[in-house]
Amino acid sequence: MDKRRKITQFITTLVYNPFLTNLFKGKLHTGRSKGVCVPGLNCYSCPAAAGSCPLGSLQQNLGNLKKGVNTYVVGSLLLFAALFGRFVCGWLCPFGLLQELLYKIPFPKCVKRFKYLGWLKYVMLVVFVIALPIVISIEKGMGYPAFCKYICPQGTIGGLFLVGFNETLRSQAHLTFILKFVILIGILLCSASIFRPFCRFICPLGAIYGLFNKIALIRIKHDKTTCTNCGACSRACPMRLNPVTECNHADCIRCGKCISKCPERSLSFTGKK
Amino acid sequence: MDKKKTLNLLTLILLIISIILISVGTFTGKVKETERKGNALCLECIGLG
Ligand code: SF4
Ligand code: SF4
Ligand code: SF4
Repeated sequence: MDKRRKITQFITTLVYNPFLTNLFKGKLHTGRSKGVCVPGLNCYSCPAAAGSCPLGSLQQNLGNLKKGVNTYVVGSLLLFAALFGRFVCGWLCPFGLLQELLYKIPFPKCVKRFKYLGWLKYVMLVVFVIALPIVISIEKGMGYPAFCKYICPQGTIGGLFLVGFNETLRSQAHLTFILKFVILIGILLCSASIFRPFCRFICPLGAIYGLFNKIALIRIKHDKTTCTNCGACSRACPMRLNPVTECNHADCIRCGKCISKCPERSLSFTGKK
Repeated sequence: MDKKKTLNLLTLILLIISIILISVGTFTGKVKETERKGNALCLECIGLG
């Protein structure tokens, strides 16, 4: 299952970002495909990107509510959430893949759960994605995507290419760019020791999908009648969950590692036996 | 109704709502709006705004 998941993650990354040569030209791809929201965190301002980031599009809309709610973006988010929940995180997100690859680096691993730190991503969602874009856009009369502006490390990756290969943009890189660069490096360094720190503690998109984890179409099933409580599943879980007591928890990224490790086949994806 | 059926019903309701929202968005020009935003360089995203 893990091999299948890795292949899917790589293919998804390429499907979201097919215009790789643009990375070295310092310019964006533009076209009709940008009207399509992709499920994972993938910045539309990355030169290689084909589609739009749902989190960025949501902030853009909340910062311009005079034009009404962008029902297309909200509907797309709801569709991904209802179909997949955090399956998106485990299988369909390039930034999740990047953190997983870094976790493979031989480096001392921190396996603590940091349960309360997990609430931070909801704070990010409420403050940076919803409240600040609405309040500041009303005050200043212009859009204010606060999460993109101050935190999102995914956007900084595209930014590095743009700044690196486009002289005009390079001359505009000042304090915010340095702040975002430091955040990106911090997250990448932590990823070598902590499994997916950004996904577990910071990402508001993961927080949104997590809220739907229990009702999404793709869920994990646990069969109490065959489970012997051996603990193999919780030992295998990279998100430090116990699938027996926390099945479909908001932090479960549906990676399927617990399913593969269960000797009694008590865990499965819905629709499979 | 058992738990599984209730969950499936909720999923179905959410799917229907999301499809309605996407359709409304498509017919009211929101896809074009999303495309326009996506095609314009977002300086905030790349740390220059
Ligand atoms: S939590 Fe965010 S960054 Fe992580 S995999 Fe999910 S959408 Fe991607
Ligand atoms: S690995 Fe399987 S049998 Fe063991 S506790 Fe987990 S679900 Fe139960
Ligand atoms: S509970 Fe299972 S599917 Fe969910 S994150 Fe843990 S190992 Fe992966």
